[in-house]
Amino acid sequence: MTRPPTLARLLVRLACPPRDLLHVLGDLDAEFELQHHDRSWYWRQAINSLPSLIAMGLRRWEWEFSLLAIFMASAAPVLFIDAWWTYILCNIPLKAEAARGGDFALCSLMYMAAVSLCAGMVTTLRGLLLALPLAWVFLLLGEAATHSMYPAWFRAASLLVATLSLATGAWTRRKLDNPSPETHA
Amino acid sequence: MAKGDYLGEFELLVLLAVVRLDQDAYGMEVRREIEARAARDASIGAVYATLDRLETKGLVRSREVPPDKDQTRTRRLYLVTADGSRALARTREAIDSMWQGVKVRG
Repeated sequence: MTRPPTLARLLVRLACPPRDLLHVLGDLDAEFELQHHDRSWYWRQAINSLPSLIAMGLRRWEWEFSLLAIFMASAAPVLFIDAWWTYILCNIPLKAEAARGGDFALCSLMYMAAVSLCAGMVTTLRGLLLALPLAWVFLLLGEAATHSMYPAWFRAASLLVATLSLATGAWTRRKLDNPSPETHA
Repeated sequence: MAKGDYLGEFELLVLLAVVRLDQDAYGMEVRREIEARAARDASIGAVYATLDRLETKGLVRSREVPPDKDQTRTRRLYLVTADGSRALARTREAIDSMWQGVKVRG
């Protein structure tokens, strides 16, 4: 007898919140038999289920995902930017560093915007309120760690970008959670 | 009706499937009902996530059903609450009202 694909099953196991795990896996296995052990059907179901299951987990574990969002919005970008700058400065001449610092800062801001947008989408209001001051603190620490070599405008711009991106992410999530009457009955 | 009280399209399908299935509204059966009647290929994850959201809104409630002679595993049965029934009725009224006098070509 053909068994369900192990990797697909593992993906579902990782994504699904514990309360529903046995039910989801049990339903998948039961219907796998009804589908004449069609492994491609199982894979399709598993892959298509992942976003919904992860979203369900985000909704349930409010506090844990707020912490994750705080980390994503603050510590992770700063650590990444710090490592990035260190790498760049080790590999380019000093004159090039002076000329291209603005470009690197812009790239850093774009990266921060992307991460903060994602963080805004997963966090709660409580996470959002905690993320902003922490992002600011981490930015100051990051700047100190790199001996204030960011351009002068970078500090204000980074906070502005993080704030706007977090708010945009939160607004997007709110729209997704509460569909407007214009598009849904 | 407040903005957040409106049912999304998939929420409406899931809620109707739960009503139709009555005492047999388990995750897999809900998915199959939607597939059979709405010709929509829903994933089991989307069904469970939507049921979870509806439960959070108080439109359905669930309980664990222990295995019996036909089933070898514990299953989660979903039932529509009074609020869920009211939300369905309101949604139907809104849709019927919007359709009155509308003629669609094609």
